[in-house]
Amino acid sequence: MNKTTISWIIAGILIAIVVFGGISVYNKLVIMEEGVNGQWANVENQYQRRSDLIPNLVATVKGYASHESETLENVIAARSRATQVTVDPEKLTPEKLQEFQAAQGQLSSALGRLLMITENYPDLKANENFRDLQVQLEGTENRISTERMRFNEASKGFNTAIRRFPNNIIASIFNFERKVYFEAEEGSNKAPEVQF
Amino acid sequence: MMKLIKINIIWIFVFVLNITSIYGVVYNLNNIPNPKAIDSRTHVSNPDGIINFNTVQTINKKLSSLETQNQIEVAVVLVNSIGTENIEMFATDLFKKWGVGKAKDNNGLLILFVGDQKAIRFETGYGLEGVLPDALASRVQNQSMFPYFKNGDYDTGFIKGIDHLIPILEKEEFEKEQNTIAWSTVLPIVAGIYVIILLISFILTNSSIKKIKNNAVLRTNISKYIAIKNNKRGVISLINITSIAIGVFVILMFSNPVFLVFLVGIPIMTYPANLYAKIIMWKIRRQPIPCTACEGKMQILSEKKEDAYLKVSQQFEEELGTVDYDVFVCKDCGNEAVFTLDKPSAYSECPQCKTKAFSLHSKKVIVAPTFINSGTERVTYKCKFCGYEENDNHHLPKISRNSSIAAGAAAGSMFSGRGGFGGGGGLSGGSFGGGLSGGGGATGRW
Repeated sequence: MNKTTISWIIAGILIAIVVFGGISVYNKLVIMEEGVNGQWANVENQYQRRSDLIPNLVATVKGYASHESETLENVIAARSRATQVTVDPEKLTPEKLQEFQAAQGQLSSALGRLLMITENYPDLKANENFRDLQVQLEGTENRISTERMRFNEASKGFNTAIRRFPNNIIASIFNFERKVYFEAEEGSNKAPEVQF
Repeated sequence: MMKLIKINIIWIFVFVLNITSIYGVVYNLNNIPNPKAIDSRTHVSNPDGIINFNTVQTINKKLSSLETQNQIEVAVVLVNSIGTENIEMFATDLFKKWGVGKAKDNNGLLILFVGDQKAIRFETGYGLEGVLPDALASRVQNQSMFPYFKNGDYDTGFIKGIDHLIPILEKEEFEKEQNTIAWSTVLPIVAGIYVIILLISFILTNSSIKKIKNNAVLRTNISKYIAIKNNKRGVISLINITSIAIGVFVILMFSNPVFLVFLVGIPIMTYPANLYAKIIMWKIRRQPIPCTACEGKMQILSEKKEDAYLKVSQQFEEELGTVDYDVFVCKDCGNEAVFTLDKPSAYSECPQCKTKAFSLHSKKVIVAPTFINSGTERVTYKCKFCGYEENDNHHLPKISRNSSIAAGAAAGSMFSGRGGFGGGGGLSGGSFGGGLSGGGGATGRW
């Protein structure tokens, strides 16, 4: 083997290393991105679960507190608005996420007000069905916050990965973009006001 | 001096106050004792002694049998205080940290009791959300536990609660984790390695055969034959031993010892090259050689025909298998050549007739050794061809008492040492299966 052959062989090995390295990085980024999308689906799932509990809740409350119609209607309206805002995980921009969060946030406030009002109706509070619904809502709220936290973790992991060198080269070639984070909602630290 | 001590005592007091509440130590995610860390059959962590020892034992037994039957992992934690932490988030984080439930099915349940919040939370793993929905979990707390908790009777409350829970959880059965080996990925890799070993063994044997063929120092067929034989043996053994050694190391360090069975295939894969070398050896040995007298070629004679050209002693040696003779005859001029191949054997050259048929014939003890005197034995060597005998007297040392005792003691200590390993096995600790919860469950306050 002469020198030219050796240099060709070395060049070939180097190219192979770069190509295989690039392939493995790309695959890893794909897996991470799908992880983020999957986690977004979990978040939407839990929000949906909350939405699904509401008709039953409204019906139960109506049976005991029929003249609280304004509060009840607010809840129903907020729910249908929230259900309309759907987000495609592939196109999850910060603006879209804000829209989604705002709609869900309004539903949270309306729900909060409703639950506050039920404090005035001891019969309602004793109702087994209502108690179950309360427990389920509470559980769902916790699930929502857990899945949001996991979504943020997945986004963070992905964003860190695409910014690191040498992954960032592959990321820019194939257009991997930063993922968004759930931020705390504005005014979420204020408790809803209740007027009697 | 006194002032210093007083100041220090005050700081110590302040420090201690900060980490304890009225109820004792404030627990966080890191210092809550993990029940599995003590013993793989403990499920209850009760560092503040909120329930008594008997209750703990009863609960452990019930939960252990649930885990054995249904693969469901339940952890029960009772503490007086987690400080200002929110019980829901704390339970979700603790669940994730310990990994309650099997990783495959996420079938874990964490029961967290926090005394100073008068709250208890059931945190359900993803896989149990179907069989224990939030409402049902809340019902268990309200119906079976709180009537007793309100009276401060936590022991009965817990036992009733667990008794209520177990039939609910039993409704779902999870499959036992199989330690499945992914044969579909392993077998191609093993086949590939086998092929590589096969190719390497062929390449190496072939190159050493070529070198020997071209080696001018080896003049005769037989010398080449011997050279190939030695080389082949060396190369094949080297490949076998290195591959097996590497294989043992890699398998024991990185994967399932079951794979050690594949090592048996390594000598099988080097055998074709071995066989190939043997065939070449045979061919080279029999190939015609240029005649020393004329321009023609000398051919080897078959075993039957060659006897005519061999002496009786040589034929005897061939029969005995101690020496092999190759006879070459030139067709044109009748020139003969006989080549000798010494074979490894117990026989050696007879001093009288020089035939390789001389060996040990018999041993006889003439004077038996005792504890006091040494003895003698006579060893007789005989040549099978000419009958020549040679005698030799060997000295037998006297028997000593110590050697027999020493031998017995050494053997005894070798076997008794093993006993120690067996004891510790069953009760060592472990950890939970790595399951995850989704934040689901129910919190109840009494």
